[in-house]
Amino acid sequence: MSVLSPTISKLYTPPTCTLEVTAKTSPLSRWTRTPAIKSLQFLLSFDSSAQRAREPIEIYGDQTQLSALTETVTQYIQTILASRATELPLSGSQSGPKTEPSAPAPDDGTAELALRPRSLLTHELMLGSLATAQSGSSLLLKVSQLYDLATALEDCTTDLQQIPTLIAAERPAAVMPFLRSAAVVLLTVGLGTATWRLFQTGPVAVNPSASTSKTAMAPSATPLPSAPSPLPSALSRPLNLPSIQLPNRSDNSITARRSGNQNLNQAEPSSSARPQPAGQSRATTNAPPQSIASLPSIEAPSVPNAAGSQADASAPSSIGSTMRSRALSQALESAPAPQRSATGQSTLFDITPQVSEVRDYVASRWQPSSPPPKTLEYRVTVNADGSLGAIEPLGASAQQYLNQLPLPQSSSVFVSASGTRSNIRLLLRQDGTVQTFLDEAGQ
Amino acid sequence: MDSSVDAIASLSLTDHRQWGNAVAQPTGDQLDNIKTQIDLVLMALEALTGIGSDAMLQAAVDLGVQEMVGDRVALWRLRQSNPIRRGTGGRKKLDIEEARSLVLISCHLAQKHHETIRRAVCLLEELAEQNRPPHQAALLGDYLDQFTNLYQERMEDDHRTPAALTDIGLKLLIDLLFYSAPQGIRRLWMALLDRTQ
Repeated sequence: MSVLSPTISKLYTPPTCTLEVTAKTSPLSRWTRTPAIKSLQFLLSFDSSAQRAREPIEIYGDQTQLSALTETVTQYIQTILASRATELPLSGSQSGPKTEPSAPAPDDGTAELALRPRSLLTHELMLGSLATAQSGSSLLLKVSQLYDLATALEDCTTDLQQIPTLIAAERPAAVMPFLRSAAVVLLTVGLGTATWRLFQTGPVAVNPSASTSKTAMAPSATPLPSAPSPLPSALSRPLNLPSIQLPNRSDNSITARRSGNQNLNQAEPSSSARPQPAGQSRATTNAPPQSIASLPSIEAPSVPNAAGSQADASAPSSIGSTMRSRALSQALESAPAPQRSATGQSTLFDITPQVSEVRDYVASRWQPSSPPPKTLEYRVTVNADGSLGAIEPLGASAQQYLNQLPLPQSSSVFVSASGTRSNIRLLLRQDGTVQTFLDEAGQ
Repeated sequence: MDSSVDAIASLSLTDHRQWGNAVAQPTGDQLDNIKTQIDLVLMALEALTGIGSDAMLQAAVDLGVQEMVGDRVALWRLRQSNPIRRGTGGRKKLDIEEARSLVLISCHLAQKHHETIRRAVCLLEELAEQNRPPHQAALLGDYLDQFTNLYQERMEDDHRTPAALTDIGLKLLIDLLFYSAPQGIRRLWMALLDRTQ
């Protein structure tokens, strides 16, 4: 029963930063033909300036944090535009486009996401809960970087707001009773099977799941009454980017979550002990606070229930870890081909075989004459017969490296036939990592 | 930026999404202040890109607001409504629709000249990092000279020093960058309202 939630990903690439937003589409979207998204995660990387060959500074978070960041940036820009202040110096005392990790990541839980002017041309972004060891507690942004950041965030917000609009416009009301019934049946069967298998497995598998029950297994107790609700709730989540005060999630929690993912993958019990994906997606859909609510137990310095933290870490693992390119790449490379492992994060982006095949093809041949200055991004069109349709470089750097891109001649078959034409986003990172995503927006 | 220009061209004076949540309408006094700000934004665009009334009138046609800004005389009268204009300043009352038309035109032109605006801002950033004066870059030097000339030629408050006018010009240049985005209309309109509160 392969009902993995496909993942959609979209990149926003203004000149000085890259915003990558990834979300899972609900399996029920297949019947509604509308993109219901959930579990949104974002990765924002600020490109290093030309003078400093540092790695891009990256911050990441969930939908609530993305919303808070957008609101902070938007409001701040409005404030400086409305300001009559012209007496600010042109350059601040600490000019410089990029941040030093100015201070350790906040650990007292008091730092808030905020912006403040350092000069007419420099602004300091206090990262609050988004701070990482790499980023430090704040970033110094040039005004052009602030502009790019705002552009990316507002474009993303616009896209997210359009999704529910589409859904509302296209949802066939007459079919809904049938869909709801189908969803109820699927959920009942899925959760029932998961529960049955769970109790059949030994205590080794049950232990981690036992503490998961408050999250992943909770829906199994009441699948029927709440079953019709996934559609509306899943659809409504991206509608209103909430202006919620961010939970004070320290960097430790993110680190814990990421390391927890790895441990979990290694020590994971048999896949049969995990709930069925449908059940899990219900859990994440109908329990929005899950990822947030579970965080305090992760970030607590002394976790009384280690199994609890491990189990909680499993919840965001599917998307959260995939935002980390290297972890993603390693997971994808080490994982076998998609199989029955319903929670195999390595397959999240491999919605079609062509996605992994393009990645494998390029990864085995990618040998640039010099490392690219930044992540190269291309849109690769693969024809229905598996031949190369077109390559579209996205950005100036990608254009420069186009000739070195190890793809075959146009119309040459290099991946398996899929029967449909597909657009695949190809990312070549500075460290040699190759990533591919199904570019649904381009289809 | 073509797509953005097309997008802005499709907007209308009554499309509330682009004007933000500014439900409150400006009062008469607020409109007086708005007149000054819009006139200065347009003047900064003139100084940086060399555009004149022809480009503004063409923008009005592109945006479908030629009823508000139909010819040179109408445009001149609207801009002369700026209370600090020399001679005839403040003669005309500016109504909301006219103010919005000028906002549309300003942002349309800012989007059209986005690359020039961004280049100027990036130059300014580079020079500031090197602690060099902005006049050392030709684009910025020409802009600041032209802005100062236009200001002294057109505005009544001639007590401002050249350094103060340079500060105003640089602030307007940075503001223009944000107005040149697809969200520029909302940003400019909200900024105009905020400034008057």
